[in-house]
Amino acid sequence: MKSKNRNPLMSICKQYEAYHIDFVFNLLDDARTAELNDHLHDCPNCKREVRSLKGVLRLADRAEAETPSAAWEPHGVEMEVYRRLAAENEHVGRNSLLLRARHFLSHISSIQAYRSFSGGVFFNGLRQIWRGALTGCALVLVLLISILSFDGDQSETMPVVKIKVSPSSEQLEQYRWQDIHQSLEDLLVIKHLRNDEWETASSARMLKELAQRTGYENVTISSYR
Amino acid sequence: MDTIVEDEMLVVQFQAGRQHAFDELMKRYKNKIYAYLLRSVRNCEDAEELTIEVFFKAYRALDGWQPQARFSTWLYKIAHNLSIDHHRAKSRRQTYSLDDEELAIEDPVASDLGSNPAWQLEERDRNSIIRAAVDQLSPNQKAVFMLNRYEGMQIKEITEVLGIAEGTVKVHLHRAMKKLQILLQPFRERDEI
Repeated sequence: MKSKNRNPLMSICKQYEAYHIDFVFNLLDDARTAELNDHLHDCPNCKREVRSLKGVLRLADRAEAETPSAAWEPHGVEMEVYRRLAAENEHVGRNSLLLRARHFLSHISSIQAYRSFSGGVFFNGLRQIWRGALTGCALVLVLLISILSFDGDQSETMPVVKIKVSPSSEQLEQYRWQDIHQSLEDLLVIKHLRNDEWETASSARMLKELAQRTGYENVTISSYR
Repeated sequence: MDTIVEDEMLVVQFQAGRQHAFDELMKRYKNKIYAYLLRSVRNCEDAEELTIEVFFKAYRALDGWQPQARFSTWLYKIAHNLSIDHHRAKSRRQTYSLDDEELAIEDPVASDLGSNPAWQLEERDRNSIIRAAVDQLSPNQKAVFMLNRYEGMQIKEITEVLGIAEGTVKVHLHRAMKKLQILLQPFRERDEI
């Protein structure tokens, strides 16, 4: 085989070597495909090589295909996504409160700094200290009011963070109910078709956790415990 | 083609405030993204966690999404980046971890076949060997191979997911195939390929 590699025939095959992989992946244009097909008809080495590449792909495909299809299905993705979004919205809400307070504080400080600068020429001594102290008190007061009245009007200069709490929460609730219904169905199947006591009790416990503060909680637990 | 239009329409609907549109997108792509991630990280829990993260990120970014590429391409791009981050974090953890329990698990490898050609492989072992061979590819080689082979993506689409040039994608694909050919050589010797 090694001696064959050195003969002129194989040097011709080197021209086609680069196309072998493109060929098995169907990446060649029609003209090149036809050319290579003709060549493969006459060249056993290239033919073997292409067959080997196709074999690699066949093995790789088979290895993946034989994984049970259920293994490719994740569970509870939607619910977890919405749960995280709801949690993040809560976090954003808290952050936006701090952001607003900080922004307001810097806004007031900048006004005070400007006034001090422009008025500093005329006012000095005790009068300015008094003024500073009064402004400080006012500032603290305004800050407190700002924090307490979080849902109040927002100044145009303040950053507005849109919070999508409601849709996420609604969606979350919807998925919760879907899960409850699904779990109830599973429970019925386990109880009546499989008749497995231990699994029934385990499923009932799961459903109890899921159905907290709903009517299903009492129904299921009294019936299946 | 219909799916592309529908995906984009769903995105527009979502941007207009219809939450159910995102729901539909998740329903449509969660299994595909999960399958891609599972092949990439080879661990169900990690793949599930990453799938959640993909849709979480997509939800947050979808308001400003522009249809420069297909929605699915964009989603795969997020998934690919997350899987790369995951691999980096994992290799960092393995470097500093003193717990070598994971490394102690001995899976069959293709060279085992070479040492004992008469060895009759169970289908499960054979698949483990092949998957282990795919896992030995470099991250880019593996991504290109998987996206083309299992997700049915054309080279152009792969360039968008991975953010690399068309020529580079082809180079990765060629190298991946050459490497797999070498790694799976024992199967060739057994006339299985």
